[in-house]
Amino acid sequence: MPDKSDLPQGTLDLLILQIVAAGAIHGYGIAQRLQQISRDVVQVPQGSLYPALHRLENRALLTADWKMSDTGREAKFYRLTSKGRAQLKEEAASWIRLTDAIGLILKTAGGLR
Amino acid sequence: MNWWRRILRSSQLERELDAELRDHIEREVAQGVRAGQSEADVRHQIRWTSGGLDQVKEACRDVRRPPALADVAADVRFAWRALARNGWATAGAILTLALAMGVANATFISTYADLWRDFPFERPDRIAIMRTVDARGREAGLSFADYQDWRRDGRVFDGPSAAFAIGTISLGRDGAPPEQFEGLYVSADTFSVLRVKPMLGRDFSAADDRPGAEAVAIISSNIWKSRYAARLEVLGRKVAVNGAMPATIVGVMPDGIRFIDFTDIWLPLAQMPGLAAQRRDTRPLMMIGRLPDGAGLDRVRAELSPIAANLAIAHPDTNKDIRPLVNTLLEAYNGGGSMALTNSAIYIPLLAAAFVLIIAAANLANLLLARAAYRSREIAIRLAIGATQWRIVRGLLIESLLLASVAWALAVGGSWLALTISTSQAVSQLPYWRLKMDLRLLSALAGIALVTTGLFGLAPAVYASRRATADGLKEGGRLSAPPRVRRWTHALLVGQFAVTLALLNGAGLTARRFFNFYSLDRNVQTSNAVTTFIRLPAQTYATRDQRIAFHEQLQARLLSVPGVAASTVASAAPFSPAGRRQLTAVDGRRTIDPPPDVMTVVVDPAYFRTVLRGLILGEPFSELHGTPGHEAAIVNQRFAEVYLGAASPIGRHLEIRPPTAQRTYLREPEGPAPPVSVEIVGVAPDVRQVRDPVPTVYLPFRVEAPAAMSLIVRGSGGVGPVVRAVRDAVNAIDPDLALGVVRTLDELRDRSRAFPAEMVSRFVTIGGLALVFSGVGLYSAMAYAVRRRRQEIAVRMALGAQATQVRWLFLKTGAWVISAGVVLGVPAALVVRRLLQNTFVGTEARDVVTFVVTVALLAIVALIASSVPARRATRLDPTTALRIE
Repeated sequence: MPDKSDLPQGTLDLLILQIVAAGAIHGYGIAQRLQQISRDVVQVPQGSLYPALHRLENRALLTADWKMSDTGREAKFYRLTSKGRAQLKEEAASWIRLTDAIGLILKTAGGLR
Repeated sequence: MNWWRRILRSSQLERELDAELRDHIEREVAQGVRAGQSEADVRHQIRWTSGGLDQVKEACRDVRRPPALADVAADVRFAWRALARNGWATAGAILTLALAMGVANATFISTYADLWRDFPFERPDRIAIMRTVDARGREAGLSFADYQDWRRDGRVFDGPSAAFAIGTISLGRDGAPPEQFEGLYVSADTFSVLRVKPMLGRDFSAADDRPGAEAVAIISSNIWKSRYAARLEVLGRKVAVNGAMPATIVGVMPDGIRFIDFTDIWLPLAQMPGLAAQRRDTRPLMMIGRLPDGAGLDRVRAELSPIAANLAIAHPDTNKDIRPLVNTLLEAYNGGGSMALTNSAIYIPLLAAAFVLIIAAANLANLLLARAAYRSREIAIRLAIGATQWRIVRGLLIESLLLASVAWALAVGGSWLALTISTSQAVSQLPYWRLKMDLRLLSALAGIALVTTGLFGLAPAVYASRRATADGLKEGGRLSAPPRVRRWTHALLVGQFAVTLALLNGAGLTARRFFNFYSLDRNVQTSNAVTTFIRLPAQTYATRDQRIAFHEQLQARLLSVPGVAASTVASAAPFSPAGRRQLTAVDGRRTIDPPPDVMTVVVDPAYFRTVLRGLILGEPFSELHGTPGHEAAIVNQRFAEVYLGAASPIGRHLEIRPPTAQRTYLREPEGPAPPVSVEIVGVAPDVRQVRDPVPTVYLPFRVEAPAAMSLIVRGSGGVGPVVRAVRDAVNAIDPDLALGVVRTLDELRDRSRAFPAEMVSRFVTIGGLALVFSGVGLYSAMAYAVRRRRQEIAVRMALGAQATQVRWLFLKTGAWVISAGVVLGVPAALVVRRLLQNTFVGTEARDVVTFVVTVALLAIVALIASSVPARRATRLDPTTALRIE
């Protein structure tokens, strides 16, 4: 099992928004998807996931409904609000810009060495 | 979601959070089981990786809760815990403040009810009531003739004006036993001026109020229910009024309409006996009218004054110097022009209640001061680890606020309870009196509570948070409060005791004076005695001999009833208003001019052994006294002191004349009586008729036999059989005759001193509360001092200090506070005494006994309040105490 990596500050919100953008999903689903897609690199414990979800909900980036789920119990499904969609777009763009820049720096620095 | 919805729906959110997190765990468990692990292993693993469920929840709650509010909630919790830790002192301070606010509230509410009656009329402030006043400032009503002139020439009013006169009216011959009621003769427009309408039937018309018109009556809903069983057929019913005149009931007034006070039957003014022949100097009427919009009483005065002046010129013998007295209805109820609203008896309890409030606030201030000093180390530590000054101040303010709101809630609840209890009693006694909670007052009290607690809570808070952190940490370790705080505490305590001394001394003076003053009520044998009012109608009892015959027959019948021990008649029972006459000469020498008024009571011979406990000097009247050639009088002690000097009163002569003009509109005339020269045959003990015992002359019944007499009957057993005997005897002689209200003499006495008694009890309550509060204040201050100085005490005791020495450490403070309090309290007590001298009860000029007792009481309370904590100090175990810090 590969080592788990700590997420940089502020990136969890972005990741959650990105996962939720694909369609209504409950908290456990989000954790699972993050783990699957990152190939087990990103493992978010409950103690980080849910406060983040609630924070996003408070900021009206997410909205939630209680719906019947596959287990036969009601689960809380999160959706993106239009504000959340705009936020995601902006943050994703800025993140990509930033990682490109960091990658560039790392590459350039490596060449000098 | 809005932050307030988050708060309001917190329980739902809590449930959702729980469900969401549990769902997550269940899914994880299911996943693990699917992957082949045991359920227990998966659960264990989850707990290991993601921490406890509660920690996750708390993290989510932190996200949800607005930060500032979360802090405040924490502050409130913290403040509550801090206060609860000192349970007794806190409860004492809260209860003190609550009680004081409750007393202030109750006092204000009853004062308010005294001052602002609750009239059931539309815009009662616009109703003007007109009477007259003579050159000496004596108030009277106006005569029918004057009323007609005023009404014709005074056209200032909005709509008509009207007049009415008070009379006792009996009803009979309608199937129920005859009964007496308070009645009012009203001119036809009276109810239109008041803007009230009968709920059944009709109002009086102008045609009803003409001489010779068929007699009609309107009754109150009271007697409609009690006498006529609320039947609709009461309209059109004929009823005998005052034993003769048959009147038709044409209307029933709605509930609560009993103008003027407790009237139960209204008759047209034209039906008033002797109205047409009434002289201009007989003034039984009062006039009312509505002020037009924008006009004040001045307009009415300006209108009526010239009319009165013209009448004075036209009728100088009756109307000279008679001026109109114009008031609003409210002013008239509060004593009209002469007493006005400045009666200090009303305001003094209010003032006293305010002082008690100040004492309570001082207690609270001391509590908060002591706490702030005690906690300076805690504050210093909090500042040191990064708390902002604002956070500290806010915490202390929240503490004050918490105290204030609990006290306020208690006060409101308490006074609501007190009002509910007392309203039922008060309403039946006083006209238009209604005790009600006043929102403005409740908010004012809340304001007082907030300001006192806030101010005194804030001052030490600012002081504590402003000091350099290092100082605070150093000083916090010190053994006692900073001297500045201690000085404040002591100043507040001294002030409390000074105010308490003044209030308690005032209460003592009032109570003592009350008991001295009313001790002469023991001259009257009140037990087992009932009294009622018998009014013989002029139609059937026209002559003196007829009236004498009636009463002789009644007495004979009553005395033959077993259970009746004694019986008598008098023109006025004790504790009720009596007639007045002029004393024109003593032993042939003229008295001053104009002649002084003396009280006169017409009595039969049995009066002195039935009502009084015999005479001091001389003999009671005989059957002969009062017949021509045997004119006699018995005077009271006060009369002998004032008019007869040192020589024996027996055998001396007085000349007595009825007053020239009937001034009062409150009582029916006693009837004209010729000037008489009488010989004094005895001296009776002083008896209170209304207020003070005044010079009084008793005249024998046979001289004139007034139509209206009070019957006083004493039973040998209880009063029940006596009442029955009286009803039967009267009924047997004259079935049409109505008895007045039957009361026991005890009742009459209690009613006559109800107002002073109420004032005294208010005063004693307030004084007593002040004493208790000061005691509580001193106690809690001492208790704090003991706690603060535990370590010091421990050191002292470890070094060999004796218990008495330790105790004296604290008793010393108590002694100092009480001495300074007494010194400062003396001038305050003098001021209060001066204020009280102007009130109805009055006070003795110099009452050293009361003062000494007051000081002794204060000293005892101070001793107890400081010795209990002091004893606790001596019981400290030095090792434990030293370990605490």
